Amino acid sequence: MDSGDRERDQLLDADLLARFAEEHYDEIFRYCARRLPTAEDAKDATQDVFMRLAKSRAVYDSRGKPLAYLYTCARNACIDIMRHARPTVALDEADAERIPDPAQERYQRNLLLADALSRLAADEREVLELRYGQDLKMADVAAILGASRFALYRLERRALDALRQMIGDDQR
Amino acid sequence: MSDSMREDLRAYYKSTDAPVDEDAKAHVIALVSGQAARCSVVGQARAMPYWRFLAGQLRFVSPRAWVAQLTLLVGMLLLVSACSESDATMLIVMVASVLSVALAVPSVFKSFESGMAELEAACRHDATQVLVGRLILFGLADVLWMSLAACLVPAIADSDPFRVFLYAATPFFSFCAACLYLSRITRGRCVTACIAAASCTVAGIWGASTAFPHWYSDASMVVWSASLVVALALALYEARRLVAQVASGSIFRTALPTRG
Repeated sequence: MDSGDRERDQLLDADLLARFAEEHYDEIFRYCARRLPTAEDAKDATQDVFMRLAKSRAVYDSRGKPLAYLYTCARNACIDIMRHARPTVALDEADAERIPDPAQERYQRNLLLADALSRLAADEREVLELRYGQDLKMADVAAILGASRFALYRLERRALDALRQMIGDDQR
Repeated sequence: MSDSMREDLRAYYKSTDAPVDEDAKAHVIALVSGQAARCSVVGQARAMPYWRFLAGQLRFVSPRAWVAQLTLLVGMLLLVSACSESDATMLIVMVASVLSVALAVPSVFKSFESGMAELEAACRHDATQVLVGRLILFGLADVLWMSLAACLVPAIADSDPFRVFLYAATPFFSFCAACLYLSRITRGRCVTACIAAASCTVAGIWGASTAFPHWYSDASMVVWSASLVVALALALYEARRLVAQVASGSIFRTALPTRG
């Protein structure tokens, strides 16, 4: 391979990775933000994920599943950061402005859902988050979790039934 | 009703999403581009053909693994020659084929047991290629093993070569499928489980021959051939699933704490 080919490959690599990172940064950041105590931790984890991806061949290998690899790296990055978790800081004014009005009905509904979700099993919660929080197809979720679609559909149905029961019980 | 719960969940997650910092995003994209330009992974990967990578994997397989395989083969041939009863020789062949898989397990799954697999995933030749490479190496060694058994055992024990091949290959591929399945469910940390399974399988083969003497020779060649086809299909299916799991990185999963 001559130097011209090498330079062209380098440009293609950089372009491919940059586009991939731009396309998936938001979803990985949101995924990390749900698992980590602060937005700064989520930014660090997200950066770590894409740097790991850049050093591996996951994006180039057409037989691989870079999205599943990305999410697995994200989970591992979040675990690493949680192990060295910093103490949480008090809210500042900018954070306080983001707290919604408790009188809103949607806010009440979200509180109920948050409570119900916290009472689900970890694997049920994870499936729901990947399906409805990250908006992934079940085939992608199956690749990320290393399980069959059939098993995950059952898990999802069980989780939804449990949520419906818990929220229904709370509203009586 | 189920649709309203799904919509509620979507709305919940959307409303609790953290806002993205565009500056941080641009910074990460720039870092990633720079990293790609430095590594030039594609160009470097093309420089080494796969056969050379495969040969390189030999360096990482302990010589003791090959010595153990050779010892097993020699031991099997010696036991076969010492046993005058042909039925016992078939039992020895079956047990030896299961043990040949068990002897390969520590080397094939060494990366996962020692926690190096994720590091390999970040390297030029990723964890998938390392696993497939080692499966190919030991697969070739076992093809040689079974070919020698099919040639030499009939000569020593005066038995049908095709029957010897069936008695060796069927438990071999069945146990391969079992080990690959155990590796999937134990996230690669399967050496202990495979050794336990090998012990149970060997005990099962000998126990069955005590309880039901000649069970294997009473079964027709058609039944054995069909069993071999099923065992081979299972082994290929489990190998494909394991390689897919390694490729997706989900074999590295550990317990994940989530925010309250």
